[in-house]
Amino acid sequence: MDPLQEALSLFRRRNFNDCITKCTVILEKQPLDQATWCLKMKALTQRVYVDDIESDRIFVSDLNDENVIASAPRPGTSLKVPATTTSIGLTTRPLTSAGCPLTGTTRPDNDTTIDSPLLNRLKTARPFTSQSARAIRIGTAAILSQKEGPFIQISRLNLSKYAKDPCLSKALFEYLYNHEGDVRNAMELATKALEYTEFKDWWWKVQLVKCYIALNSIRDAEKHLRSALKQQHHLDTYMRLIKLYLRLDQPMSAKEICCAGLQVFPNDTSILTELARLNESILNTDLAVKLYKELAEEDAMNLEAIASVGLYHFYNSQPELALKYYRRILSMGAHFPELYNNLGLCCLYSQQLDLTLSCFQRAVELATDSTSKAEIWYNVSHVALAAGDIELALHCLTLCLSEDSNHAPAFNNLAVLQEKIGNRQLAKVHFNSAKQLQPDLPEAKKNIELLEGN
Amino acid sequence: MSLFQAIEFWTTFCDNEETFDQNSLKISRLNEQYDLIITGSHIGVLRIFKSGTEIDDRGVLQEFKPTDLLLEKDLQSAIIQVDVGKLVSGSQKIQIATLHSKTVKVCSFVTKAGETDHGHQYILKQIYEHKLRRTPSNFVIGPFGKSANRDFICVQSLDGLLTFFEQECFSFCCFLPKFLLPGPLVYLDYNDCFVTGGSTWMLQCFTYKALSDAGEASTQQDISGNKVTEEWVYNTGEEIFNMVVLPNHQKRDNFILALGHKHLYCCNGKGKLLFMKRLECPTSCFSAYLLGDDAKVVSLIVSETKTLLVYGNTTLLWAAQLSFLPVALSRASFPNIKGALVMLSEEGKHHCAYLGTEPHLFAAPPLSNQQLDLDKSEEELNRLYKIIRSRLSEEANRTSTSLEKDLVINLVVDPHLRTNIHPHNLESTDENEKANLMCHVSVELIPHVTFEELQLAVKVQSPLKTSIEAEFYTEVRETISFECDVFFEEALEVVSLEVMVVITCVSNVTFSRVLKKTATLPLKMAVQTCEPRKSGENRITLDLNKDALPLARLFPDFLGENKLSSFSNAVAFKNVNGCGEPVTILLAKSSQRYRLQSDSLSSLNIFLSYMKERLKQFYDNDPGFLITYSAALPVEPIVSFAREHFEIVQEIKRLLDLLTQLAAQYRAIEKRLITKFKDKNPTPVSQFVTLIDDTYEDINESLKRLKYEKGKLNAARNKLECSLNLLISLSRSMDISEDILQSIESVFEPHIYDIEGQSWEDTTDASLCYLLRTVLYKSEKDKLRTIHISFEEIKDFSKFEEHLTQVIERISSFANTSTTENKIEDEYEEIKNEPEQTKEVRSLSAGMETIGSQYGEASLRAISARKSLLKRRHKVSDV
Repeated sequence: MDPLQEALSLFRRRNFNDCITKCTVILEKQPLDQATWCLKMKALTQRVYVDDIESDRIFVSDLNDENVIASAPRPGTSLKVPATTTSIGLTTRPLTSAGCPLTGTTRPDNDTTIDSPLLNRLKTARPFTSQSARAIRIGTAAILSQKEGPFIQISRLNLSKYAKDPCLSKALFEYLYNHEGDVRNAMELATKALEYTEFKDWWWKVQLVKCYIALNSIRDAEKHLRSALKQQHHLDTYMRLIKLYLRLDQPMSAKEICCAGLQVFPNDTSILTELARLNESILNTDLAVKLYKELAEEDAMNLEAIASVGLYHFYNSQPELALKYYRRILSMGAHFPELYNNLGLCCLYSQQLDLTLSCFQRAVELATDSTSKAEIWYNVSHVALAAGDIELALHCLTLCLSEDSNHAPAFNNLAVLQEKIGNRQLAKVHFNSAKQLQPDLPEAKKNIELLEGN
Repeated sequence: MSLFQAIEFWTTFCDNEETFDQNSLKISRLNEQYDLIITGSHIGVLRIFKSGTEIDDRGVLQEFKPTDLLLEKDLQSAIIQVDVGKLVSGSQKIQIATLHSKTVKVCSFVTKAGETDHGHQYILKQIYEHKLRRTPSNFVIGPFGKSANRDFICVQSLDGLLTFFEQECFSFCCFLPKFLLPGPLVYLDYNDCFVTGGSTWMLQCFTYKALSDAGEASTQQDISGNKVTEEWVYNTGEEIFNMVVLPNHQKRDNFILALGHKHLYCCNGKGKLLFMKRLECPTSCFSAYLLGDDAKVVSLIVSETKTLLVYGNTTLLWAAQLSFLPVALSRASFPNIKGALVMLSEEGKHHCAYLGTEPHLFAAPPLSNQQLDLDKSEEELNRLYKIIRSRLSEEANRTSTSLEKDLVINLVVDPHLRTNIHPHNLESTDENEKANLMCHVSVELIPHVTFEELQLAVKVQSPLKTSIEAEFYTEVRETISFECDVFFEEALEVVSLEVMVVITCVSNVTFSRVLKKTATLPLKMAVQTCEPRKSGENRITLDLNKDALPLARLFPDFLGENKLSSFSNAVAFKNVNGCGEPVTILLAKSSQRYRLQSDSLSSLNIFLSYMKERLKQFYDNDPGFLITYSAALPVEPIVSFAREHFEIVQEIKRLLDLLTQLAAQYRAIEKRLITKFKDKNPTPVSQFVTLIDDTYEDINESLKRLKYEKGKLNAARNKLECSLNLLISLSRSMDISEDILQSIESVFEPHIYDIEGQSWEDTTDASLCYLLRTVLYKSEKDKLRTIHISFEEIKDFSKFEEHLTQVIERISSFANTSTTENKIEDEYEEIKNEPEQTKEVRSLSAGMETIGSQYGEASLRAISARKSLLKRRHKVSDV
């Protein structure tokens, strides 16, 4: 078989490492073989490729954000200002420190370090390749693969020449942007290529937008995305525009784009997901759940949708229904401590006490990181409280705090128990710690007031 | 991750080290009744299988049997792609075409029916082959040019040459434009065109006619064809890995399904997008077919997570878990099973599977400690208890121990005074220099535990000042010694000689605590002796219930100065810095009494405090020892001090208002001046200069006055503070119940702060009214007084004066002031007759008459107070 043929076949089979070695061999013999060079470039890019739409983190509170429009937005028009909710339920749905409601799943784009009072998170079904920061991945991969020096000397590239080659330019851009992480040169290439194509290729506009966003020039990015959409409807463009508005903290505009996107691509799961998440974060819970249900109908395997609906039912005082959803996730083969924890909580609140402890037992056994361990012990303390075993509850809370000493609700509950068994001084100290750790924790505030009132 | 699992019923694998990719699998009926599986490996072995989907006696599908492999032939050259078509002219039979590195071979699959039990014999017979001049990448077979019942071959080379073979003969060849690397190539039969996903990351469509026109004159050796232009392009913006064409019979059109690495696209034959789907996972292979009459496109996609996803248009219909990752996937129909999945893995595993509708319920792996191991459980329990205990004991430690045990404070005031070396605001006269002394204070902290943070602050009341006010320490483990000096900052009377050390600390278990300790500075620092005076406007008499201490023992520091001996019964002091009035202290000989007198009430303060402290010390804090003050409290001096303070505050307010006005005026002139300057027609500005100069002078003048008034305010405040302190000291010596005393003390707190917008009078008035309404009420009417809700600014001093007088009088009346004036009178007569009395003391007798008259007044007041008390009692009994 011809070596290039073989390399192509390896590339199609996503066997990138072998493909790169094959290409390197060919290039040693024929250093100027453009096709092989392009293939190697593509393989290198694919090896470190990260879906940047999914991993695009939205920094909710950025002090130096010059794109902020209103400092005091009207209710429901911003993700930064926590909206107030009046929900009557088992427990009110906890909000994250940024004021957004707890989501049903952890996503690459939401803050994973937030402390939530009731752990009702699931890991997402999507593969976690896109979770770590892009720049870091790229850097390490580049160093690993190129021991004898970089594959392409970017400084020597004649970008204007490559911009005119429609077969090479796109692959080269992806290489520069994803593999090298060289936004400046990538942007130069994109600008030149866009000029060369007489601004007729939407793809270059979207790539330029990627560069603009990396350089935090959001308004320019918006302009280009809008113009790209005029040329061709593409999901990628819609998704980027939605993310862009979320980044600009304009949920209403993002919503509009979602709706426009859904007109073009009816029932598209990725847009539906965004819309549902969006509604969830502006506390439009009922609509969010409706959308999640639609999403589950379209894509019955979507763990996020199932978990979110489950979460909604849980905080809506329907633990039995939530239990059904979580069991579905379990039967799909998910096997995480968080899931068992949630199952345990649902069992507890739906009075299936025989299953509760075994669920938590599994959760404790599976948990590896200290945050989830802490959350599980915190929830076990609720089981103990439900059984009236204050001693056990105290022990559980102590274990929770030994795992995560920043767990404000645990401090609060510990304080309540200490107060109950007569240690007022200690209770006060714990309340104060809880308040210090999470200043907006209403329970701690109220309890301190009560304690001082007496 | 999925609810279901695909169920494999037929599996076989290759023994050799062979590799396959997406072009290595073809499902075709050939000329049989059911689908056959044709595979060609990269080392050149062609295999044809039939899936023996026979159901055995038990109703189970039969697994792979060796006889299922119909044919296995090594073609000696790597097989890049296999496909089938009607490739032999004049024949309607379907032949197998294989693409090799140098050739395209067309073979016929021939079945020889066996006559005996050993079955049929299958032979692969090569019919023809075409030599290729360029290395091929893939080929496509179809009825190009809408030829009926004939299939042609189009081979795409690695460098973009399309070579067409019309069955046995070469037709033409041409280059694709904008080519770098070969992409998938498909033929659309309804539209008679080719679609390829090339390096430009677009779907490019070329009609067969355009291609044949371009390659008209070409031969296999000479490829000087014209340039071909695309019929249409669709910009996908990503590389296309695989394409499938489906016929849309209703519309006489084709569906093109193209799979990129992020999206699945579906276009029609005109290049219009029908739908697209974002894929969440990289895919390994894909296949598609049409379902039903409404032409629903069903795509089968295998993601890298080994999940088979079945989409009907964009809706997920089914998901099933596979046991391995296939590189090629196809749908086949076998006897008993229509629509089985045929999958081929990279290393040559051939699988046939169906979508199991029986949910494969996930069985969680059993808990590791299902069998309760008592020893292990106990161990775990002990481990957990250890964590709990260590935390609990920590907590217990935090709260139980008191700070006094952890931190010992030694506060030492050096009795020897030195000349002040620190900066001060005293007027520098020789006399002042001499009298300006400082007192050394040293603090020693002995910690018994570690303190993370510790702040030490030394406080004295103005006009005294410390050289270092506060010090901050971190990580305190060892003894700290802190030294500072106390000195006079301003020439005012001393309010209190107390020096207080406040320690705020955070221990290593993050508890914050506060600790205070006080000491008294030597009296010598503030006063010096002088000639006793015979009279004083303000007098205070203290009664003792034990023997009075001789003055020399009361003021041991001053022994020998100004003839103070152990027999003296009169001594006088004045402030070191010359402010205030001298104070004379007299000791009654026969009775246990002291008298303090001075022209200024404020000067008495410090002595009263000192004497009380000293006497208490002498009687060793004996609870039976009492110092009583039984006369009425002085009202007039306090009120006059307050008035003075009030007036100065008012003046300062007026000055501030004036300043604001003047500043505004100044700014207005400035603005006007600027506009004048900017004017196009210049006008003289000399009058503005006069205005601005005048305003400037006015501002300067009022600033000077403000400074002066502020100095005055300081003095007035100091006097008021002294007299308030005295008032509290006196009240303590009166027979007043503890709770009333507390209220009084809090109202007459001898620290006066005049902040902008709220002066001492404003807050005190509210407190006074509160006192009058509650603890000091006289009649029921008092209780009905309006409650002060806010601190209003006092404008009218007379009202405040009235309140203040009332309060002080009522305090006096609450204490059962006894009228022992006559006795006092007698006592002092005795003093007069003392033989060793000094001249000055003798001359005191002249003032005695006035004393008597004053006390007479006081007693009158006391009587009136008692009367009113009696009245009230009467009223109460009436009710």
